[in-house]
Amino acid sequence: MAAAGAAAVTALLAGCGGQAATGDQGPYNGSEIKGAFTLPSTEFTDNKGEPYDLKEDSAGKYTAVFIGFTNCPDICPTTMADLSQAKGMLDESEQEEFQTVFITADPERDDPELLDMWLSSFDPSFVGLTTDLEDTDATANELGISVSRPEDRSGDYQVDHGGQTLLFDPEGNSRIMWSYGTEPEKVAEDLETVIGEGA
Amino acid sequence: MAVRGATRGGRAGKARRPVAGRRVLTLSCAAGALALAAVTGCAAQEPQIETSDATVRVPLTPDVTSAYVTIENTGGADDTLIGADTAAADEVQMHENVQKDDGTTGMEERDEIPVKAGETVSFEPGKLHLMLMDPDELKAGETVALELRFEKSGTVEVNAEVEDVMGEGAKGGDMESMDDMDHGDMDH
Repeated sequence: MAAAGAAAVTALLAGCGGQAATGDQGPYNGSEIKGAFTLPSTEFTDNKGEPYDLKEDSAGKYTAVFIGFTNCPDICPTTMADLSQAKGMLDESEQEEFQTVFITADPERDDPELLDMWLSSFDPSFVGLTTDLEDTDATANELGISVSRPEDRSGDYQVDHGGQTLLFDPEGNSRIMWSYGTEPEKVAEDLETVIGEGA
Repeated sequence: MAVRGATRGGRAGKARRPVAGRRVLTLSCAAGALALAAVTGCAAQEPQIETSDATVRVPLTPDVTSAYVTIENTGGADDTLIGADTAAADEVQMHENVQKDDGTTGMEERDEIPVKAGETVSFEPGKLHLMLMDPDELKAGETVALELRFEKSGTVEVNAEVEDVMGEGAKGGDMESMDDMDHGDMDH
């Protein structure tokens, strides 16, 4: 009984801390997902109203990708704030090699103007992308990020989505996954490591 | 940071109970015990709600923002948070982030949040939050009055500071809530 209790407590603690933040195995604080996912060449519209090909236009930089929506009051703004803080911990040359892309899971409400306003609260360099529902879901699927929205989307509704952030290398291949709540310091450390590896 | 109220004596009534009932008839004994229970109940078995670290995020869209608060029940009885309100938004809902089987993170609305005697419930990012629907235009540094409705303690008013999501509304330092993901924040 005592052993079972201790195991339950350990499981609880591990759940609270987020397994990706501990990183006992790989070289990163986050989970190493080298080559597990590739950015697809999906055509989006960015927060400035310009066309944006997810693969082509993000190429050349390490790119953090998060799928969320602007009416999300908690997880999404916290993650964007964390990414912005992590970026701020990098030196200038590292910052130039890093970008953040936010894909809306709620394209029916999140138009480019709303995305632009929302992202400007975190970092004006963050890119916000929107497309139709079909391409949104196909992209999420290719990146292994679940999205689920209610059938009835008439009033105030919420979209369920994976809380992880994926980091892609300059060629669009996945490298690291950070679970929700990974501290900005840990993210920054990983970015320094991975950018250093590529230098 | 939590301001602790005087702990109410949980055992005050226990020692006196046998003495009170000893010399009376069965009927009045029961009545006496009832009366005693009522009297000691007031002292020993009331919840006592203390709040701290109340913040509201500057709304990033006109539709929604979130608020956070730490609630501590220093009293001798359980209580339940049954709702919240503010003049600064059309509606306030209580939400909990839950990890779902399909791998998504979603919010579920809660009608009741137990705050048991001696326990602390923290509304914090990624866990619990108050969702303010159609909030006013709030600026960092302003104060918003939140009303927390408890089943037993009634309405508890909390002054929440409006904070920028990047923490610029925090008073100096970098101890804003988003950095503080500690789940074991009890007291000092």
